[in-house]
Amino acid sequence: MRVKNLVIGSLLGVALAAGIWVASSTLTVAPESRPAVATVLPTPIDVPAFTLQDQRGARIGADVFRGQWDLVFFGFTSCPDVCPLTLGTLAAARKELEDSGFSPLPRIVLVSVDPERDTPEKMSAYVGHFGAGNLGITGDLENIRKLTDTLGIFFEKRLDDSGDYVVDHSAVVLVINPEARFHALFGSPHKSDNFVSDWPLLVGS
Amino acid sequence: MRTAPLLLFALLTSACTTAEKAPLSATDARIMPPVPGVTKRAAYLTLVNNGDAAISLTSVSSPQFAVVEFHQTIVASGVARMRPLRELVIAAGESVRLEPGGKHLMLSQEKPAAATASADNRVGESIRLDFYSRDDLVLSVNIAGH
Repeated sequence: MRVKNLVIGSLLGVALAAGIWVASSTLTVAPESRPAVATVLPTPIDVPAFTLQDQRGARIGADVFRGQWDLVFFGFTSCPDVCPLTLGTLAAARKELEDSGFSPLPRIVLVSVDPERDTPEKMSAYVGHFGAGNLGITGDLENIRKLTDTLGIFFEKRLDDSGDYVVDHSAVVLVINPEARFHALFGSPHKSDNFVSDWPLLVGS
Repeated sequence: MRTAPLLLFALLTSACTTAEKAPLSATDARIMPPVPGVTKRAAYLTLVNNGDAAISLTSVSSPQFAVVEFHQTIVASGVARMRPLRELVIAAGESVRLEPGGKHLMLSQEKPAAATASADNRVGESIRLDFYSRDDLVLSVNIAGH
C-alpha cells in the first residue's frame, strides 16, 4: 500500500509540475513582444465622425485615418517649444525606421487645437516643414472637440497679459491603426528611440 | 609693516581678477530653426553665475525681435502648459539651463531683416540677446545660425 501511495504521489507530483510548466509557458509573454514605452489600449476606440479640413483645404472625415498607421499629436503652430520638438522627434523616428527599411512607416499627423489661428495654409507650411507625407488637420472648434473628447485629449485656451494667448494641451502622441481606431499612446517626454523600438511591436500586434 | 603692501597688492590683484571675469556667462546657446509661417521661436542656453551673489534677470531684449520673454514649459498630468517667468534667478556659483521642454526664451515678432541689417546690432546673421537685471545690462549673447 505504501509503495502504491508513493507511486500515485509521484505521478501527481510530476503531473502538477508539468501543469505548472505548461501554464507558465503559455501565460508568459516574451518581453520583447511588448512595447516598452507605448501603452496599448485593451480595446481600441473608434475615431468618431467629424468634418474638418486637411492642410490643402480639402474636407476630411474619420476615413482619413483608414489605410495607414498614424502617429497623431495635438498642438498648434504658434507653440514654440513642445510642438516643434515633438514633431521633430516623430520625424527623426520615422526617418530612422525608413533608413532601416522598416514597413509600414507611420504617417505623422498634427491636429490643431488652435483652429482660430491655424488656417490650412499655416498648417501646410508647418507640417510640411517636418516631412512631405505629413497630415495637418484643422477646422471648426466644434469638430475638433468631437475628436479630442472621444480620444481623451485636453486643450484649453489661456490669455496672457498682452492679450495674446497660448493653448494648454495634452502632450501625448496617439497611435491610430489602419481601421481608424485609437490603438495605443506614448506619454511625454518623447524620445525618438522609444518610437523606433516600439513601432515594429505596435504595428505587428 | 612689510606685510601691509603685500596685502594691498594681493587685494588689488584679486579685485582686478574679479572685475575681469564676467559675473554672468552663457554656454550652449542655440535657437530653434525657423518654421515657415511661425512668428514665435524658442532659444536655449545655459546661464552661469560666476560671482558670489545671486543674479536676478528681469528682462531680455533683441535687435531682431520685438518681444523676448522667459518662459517655462510645464508638463503635468500629461498636459503641456507654457507660462511666462517674471524673472530668472541664478544663485551664486550656480547655473540655470534653458532647455527644450523646460525653461526657455520665447522670441516673438521677428523684425524684417532690412530693419536691422544696417545697425551695428546685427552681427552677420546671428541673433543678439541682451539680458538685463532691472535696468543694468549684465550679458549679451550672439547666437549663430539665424
